[in-house]
Amino acid sequence: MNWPAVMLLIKHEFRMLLRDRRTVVLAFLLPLIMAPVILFGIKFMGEWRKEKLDETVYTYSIVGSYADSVRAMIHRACMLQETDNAGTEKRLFSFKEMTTVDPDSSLATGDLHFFLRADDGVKADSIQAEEISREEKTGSEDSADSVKNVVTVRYPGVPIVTIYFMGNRDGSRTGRSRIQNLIIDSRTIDRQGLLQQHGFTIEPTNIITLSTLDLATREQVAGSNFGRFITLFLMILTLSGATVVAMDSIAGEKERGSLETLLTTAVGHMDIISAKQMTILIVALGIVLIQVVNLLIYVTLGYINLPNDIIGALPPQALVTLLFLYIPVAIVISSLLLMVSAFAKSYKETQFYYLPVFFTLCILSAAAFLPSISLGSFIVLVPIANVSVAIREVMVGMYNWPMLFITCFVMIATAMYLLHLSSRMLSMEKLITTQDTDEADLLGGAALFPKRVLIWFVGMWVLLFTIPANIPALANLEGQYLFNMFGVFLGVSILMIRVYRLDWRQALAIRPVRPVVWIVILVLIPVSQITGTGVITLANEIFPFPEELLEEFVRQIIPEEFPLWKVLLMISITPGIVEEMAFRGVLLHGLHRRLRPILLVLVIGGIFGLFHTSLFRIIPTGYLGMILTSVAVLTGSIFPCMLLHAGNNAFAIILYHYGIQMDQLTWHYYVMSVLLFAGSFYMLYRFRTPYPNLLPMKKRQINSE
Amino acid sequence: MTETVSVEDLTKTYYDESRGEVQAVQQVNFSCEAGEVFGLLGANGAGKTTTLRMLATILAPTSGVARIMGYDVITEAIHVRQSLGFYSATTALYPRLTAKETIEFFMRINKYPADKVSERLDLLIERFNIGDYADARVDKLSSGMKQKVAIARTIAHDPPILIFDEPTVGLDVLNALEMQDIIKELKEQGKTILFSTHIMSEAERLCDRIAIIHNGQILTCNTLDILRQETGEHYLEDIFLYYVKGLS
Repeated sequence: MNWPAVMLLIKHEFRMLLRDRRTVVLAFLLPLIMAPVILFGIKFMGEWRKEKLDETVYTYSIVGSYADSVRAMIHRACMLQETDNAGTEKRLFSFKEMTTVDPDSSLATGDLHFFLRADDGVKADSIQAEEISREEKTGSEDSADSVKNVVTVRYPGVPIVTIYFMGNRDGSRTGRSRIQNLIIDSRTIDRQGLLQQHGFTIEPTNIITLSTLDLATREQVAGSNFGRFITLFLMILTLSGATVVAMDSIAGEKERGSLETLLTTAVGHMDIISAKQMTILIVALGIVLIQVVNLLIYVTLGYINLPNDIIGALPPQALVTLLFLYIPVAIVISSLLLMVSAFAKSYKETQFYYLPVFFTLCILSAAAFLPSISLGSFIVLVPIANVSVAIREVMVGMYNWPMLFITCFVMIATAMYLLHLSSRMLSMEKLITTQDTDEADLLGGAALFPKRVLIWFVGMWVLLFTIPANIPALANLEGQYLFNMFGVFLGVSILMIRVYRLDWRQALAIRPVRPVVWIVILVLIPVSQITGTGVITLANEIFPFPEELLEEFVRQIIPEEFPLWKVLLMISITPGIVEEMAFRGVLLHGLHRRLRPILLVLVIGGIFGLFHTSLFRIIPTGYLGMILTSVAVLTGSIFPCMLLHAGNNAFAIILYHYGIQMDQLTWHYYVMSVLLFAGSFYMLYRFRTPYPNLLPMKKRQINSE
Repeated sequence: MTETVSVEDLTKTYYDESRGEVQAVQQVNFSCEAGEVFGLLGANGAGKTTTLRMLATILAPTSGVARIMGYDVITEAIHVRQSLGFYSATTALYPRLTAKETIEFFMRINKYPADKVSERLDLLIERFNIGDYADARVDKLSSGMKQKVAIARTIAHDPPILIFDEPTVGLDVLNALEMQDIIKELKEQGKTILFSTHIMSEAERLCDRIAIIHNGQILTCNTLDILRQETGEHYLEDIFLYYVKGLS
């Protein structure tokens, strides 16, 4: 690293940054002003709302044969409240009973905040009997659109009081809640009176004394609350400031044309990237620090009410550790934002990429909310999520040093890798040169297909998950089978071939293969199934899924009432043909000039996994997808993939049909399978007839820096 | 004479999604000497900019060797960049820096001796007559003023090699003529100048040797007099057409 050059570049970056009014406003001033404005606004609105609701005189009416008794209950509870609150400043809520002929319309017009229908035991019994009879006739539980709290257990002869209110109105909702509490209080008094009348001379509260004792220290409780959200909170603050700077840093320079000028100077790409990254990091950490100090001031001023006096209860060493752990997060964020900025061709394009990056980072930093997950698990290897969990543990005084060390290592390694990627992007001619035209857009047809194929697959994915779920006729297995296989995979594949005027032989990889390939595929069928089971077992260690869920899923996908031939047709033969036409056919054809072979295998395998409905199937089907794509890449033909896909599925169905449990296999089988797997792929490679016009495996780079 | 630039079998292949493999530059060979203006003459898309970008280490060659002052463009990129100044219509200035800051920044980043920065800065400001607006931000300058600042920043660190990629594109007649005068002056100072253009009169006026490049290949490379003798044509435009049409 050429430090004098890096320092000069940082100085240069800051000079330009501070002279750009847009950046200064968006990155510095706006977050500083917005925080107090929002907090003050929330506080003001909250207080104003509370005051308004406290001042409100809640108007209501009571109808029904039991109205007088309820009226008396409310009166008693109000009197009791007045007695309890005598001498205190606690406000009493005002209620005013109104007389109305039609309480429903008075509630709808807002003349009433709520009304009560009170029926004595006899009337309530008859109403309940009518309701039961009506439900039996219609077969539905509740035909009304309104949300209703149903009394599940009711003894005959017990009166019913129902409070009718409008949940979309603050006043109605609050009035309902307050009157309900009054009635509950009154009911408690009545119950105690009844108990005493029937010979229970002691008060119910004297039967058992219940108390709770929290053994956690005040710091631990505060740390537990604070530790859950602090990473997410800091992440949002960091992103708010750093994004504008990162966008301007490389994408802005590309747009202005000054990046090419900088690239012709006597500094290394890594020095340029490091300087830009440090600038973003300094801004990000500076903004976080300012915002945290800001927030502490607002806490002191009382704008924010944190539970249990969180900040005051946190030990100083926990805060220092928090800062120490957050630095790698800030480094990763700044590296990632810089990489996005380097990848995009313009400022505008950066904004497109920013949103998914923002959500991904927020999801990762919310890992501390996951219950019962500890740093001593796979999470330690997941960047950002590991820090989120580490901070939560440190905040409650759990210092798992080996895992904290691994966390720091993973974060620093991630940051270094991202920096390396950003540096490489400065050598990518497509991103530097501005004159390259998107000729495909002008040519259309087959030339445009590689640019559009992923959009089509996103559409197919949306169709697959929305249509069968919303059309009752397609909700069963047969309906889904017909729609997915013929409507989506086959139909859309044919549509793509026609719309883009593709050569169908090329698009579907219709090519003959050598005879030895068929033998290898026959070996691969059981081998891929067994190694796939191994992958599922490993995946289960990382993302455990309930056994019952798996069994239920298998029952759904392989229904026992279907004959074997039908299951084989639906689950093995048809997917083996039409899914291969879609994935190893048109998708591979569309992407083979865009991605290098290894990435091609990973991406198509991953997309194949994402098309398989449930979360726990993504890993095994993604694995199968990668095997199938590798076969297509090595043989250049769709036919071996069709046989392997159909064979793999059929093998699983037959095993299930005869009750053979794959997960009971001993390790010998796995070792044997891995060896056969390696041997099979060696044979495919040895007798390869590669997919035509693949990109080369590697690309030459400027590497002197 | 000292050979300052040598290019052997330099090739650049792009992978275009729609067109597949595109050979932008194919096995180009030439060399330049100190005090020489070497012109790359070609139509738009002929491969001039790609060749010069490879020499400036902005793009990586697919194959072949190129050396600038003896430094390899792939393995010694930083030394190469320290030895050259690159000017093109696409290399913009930093709009938020002043003219003076711009020149100073490029001097320092290109490792010009720190104790001589101030002296050279004054020299360049005087040479290009930018004293009146030296402290004005670049985004406030007219295009003529910007052009002067851009040339000053290109030669700020006094490099022995200068690459001018279509330097007069978008300039009015007066500014284009001034650019030509500057190139002549730099040649007199002993600089090697690689100059690309599609304007025949410019090439005729400035270049010691001219390489005609078409579809990524150099069709011929010689002095204007020899090119005239070889083709029997007088005007460079006719010479250019002679080679280009002859190929097709």
